[in-house]
Amino acid sequence: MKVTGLIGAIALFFSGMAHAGAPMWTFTALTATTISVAANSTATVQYRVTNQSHKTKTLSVLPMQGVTHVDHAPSVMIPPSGCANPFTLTYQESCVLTLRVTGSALAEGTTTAGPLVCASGSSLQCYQPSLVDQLTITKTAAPAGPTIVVDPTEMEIVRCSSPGSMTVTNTSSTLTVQDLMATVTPGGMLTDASGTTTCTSTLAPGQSCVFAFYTAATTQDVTVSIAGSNTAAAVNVLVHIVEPINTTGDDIRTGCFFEPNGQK
Amino acid sequence: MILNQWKFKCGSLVCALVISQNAFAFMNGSDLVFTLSAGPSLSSTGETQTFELAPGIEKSYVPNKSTKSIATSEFFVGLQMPLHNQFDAQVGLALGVSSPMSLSGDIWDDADPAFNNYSYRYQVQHTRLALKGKLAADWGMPVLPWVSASLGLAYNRASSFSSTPTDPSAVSTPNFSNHSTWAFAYTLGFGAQHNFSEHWSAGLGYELADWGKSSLGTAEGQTMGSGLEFTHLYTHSILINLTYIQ
Repeated sequence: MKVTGLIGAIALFFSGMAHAGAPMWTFTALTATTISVAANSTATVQYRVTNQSHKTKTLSVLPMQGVTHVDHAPSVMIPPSGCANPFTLTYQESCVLTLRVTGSALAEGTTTAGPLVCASGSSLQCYQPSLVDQLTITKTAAPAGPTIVVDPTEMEIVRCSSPGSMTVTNTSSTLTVQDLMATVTPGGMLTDASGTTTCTSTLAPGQSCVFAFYTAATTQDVTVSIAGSNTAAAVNVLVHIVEPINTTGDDIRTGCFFEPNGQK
Repeated sequence: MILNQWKFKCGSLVCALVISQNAFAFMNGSDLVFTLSAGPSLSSTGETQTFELAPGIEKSYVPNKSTKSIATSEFFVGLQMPLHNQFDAQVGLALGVSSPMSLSGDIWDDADPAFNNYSYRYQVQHTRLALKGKLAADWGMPVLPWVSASLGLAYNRASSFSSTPTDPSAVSTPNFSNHSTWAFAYTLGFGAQHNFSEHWSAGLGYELADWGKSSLGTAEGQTMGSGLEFTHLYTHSILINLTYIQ
């Protein structure tokens, strides 16, 4: 029985030897390879790729959804070198492969695969990191930001008259609006009434501020889009520019200059 | 489609022989003969093949067994006629078929055993139609020794190639495609038979067959060379045969 077991063990050893292989190019993870990426963000993963073949290999990364190879120009191929696209390695030569993961381009859920690095741009000879070092990417939802409300969302501004105002309120009780901006549609001729506008780049939770505009433009409709860099959505305000009823004089601030007969 | 072609050929074969029988009626004692042969065969699985599939991508395909056993069978229909006093000659057509021969081995990337990272498997099936002759000696013994030879056309189908990574970092690669090859084939045989009655005889024989060339098709993305191939695929068969003489 013992002899049989020994023979079995020897047979198993040699059958294992029959398939004793090794990757032709190896991957050493330089960063975490199991990552979560929000739908509105990006991440970077790096591997050191080393050619184990005695032949010089020209390698490239097969396309993967949401993952792009950051191409390092040949001029930076000085140790520690970055891998160009494609990159050529002689025996035992290495380079650092940088991959950018773009959350918005990823498939939903978790994906474990690759990166697949192939010779001569062909799928006939490809290797990837060992299972523990393969890219495991989980796409997560973009974090919820503060919500703003604007009052009103439709208004009139009288040309060459007092500024029109819109009040922005941060309805969040905890999150501050960052990079608050009001953007006028291209071609829309509204001028910030700096004396009346109170909004700055941030808006604290529960607080309100005002955007105010003059205009010297002729009658038209203009859309003002108000948003912060972390707000869930922009709020659009439709502004109707109307003609003034009384024209009492020039106003340098608005660029309005009136003829004696009351016409511009 | 191919089966229908064979049916047509076989149907034509019997018609041709009946016509031939009349045509050769001047040969006294010419008889129609049918022989069914079957038995095990040993085939060489070939040698290691190394070639480039694309510039810079070279691989070796290493068979993991030197021989493979399969089953072969043959149906022969022809005419038998006496030759001198001590010999009987048979001439006719033979249709031979083999069971699929499974071939397997290892793939070495870069033709380097250090990168033995895949195993492969595929199969070859052989069919042939040949003109065959057989010469049996009747020397008054219980068994009649005979020799045979044939020359014909083979249809060799190589199919179902699959490669499997054996290293966890190796990535699956495109497989060679199925491919069929028409080739010249021949057989040489000898054996002995015993006549049980006026119409029936049975015997045992050895036959060497060369199936000719067989080849897999190229893989997706392959720009150089072809698939795995045999220039000559030889089989050694022990065949039991049963013959009916009309």
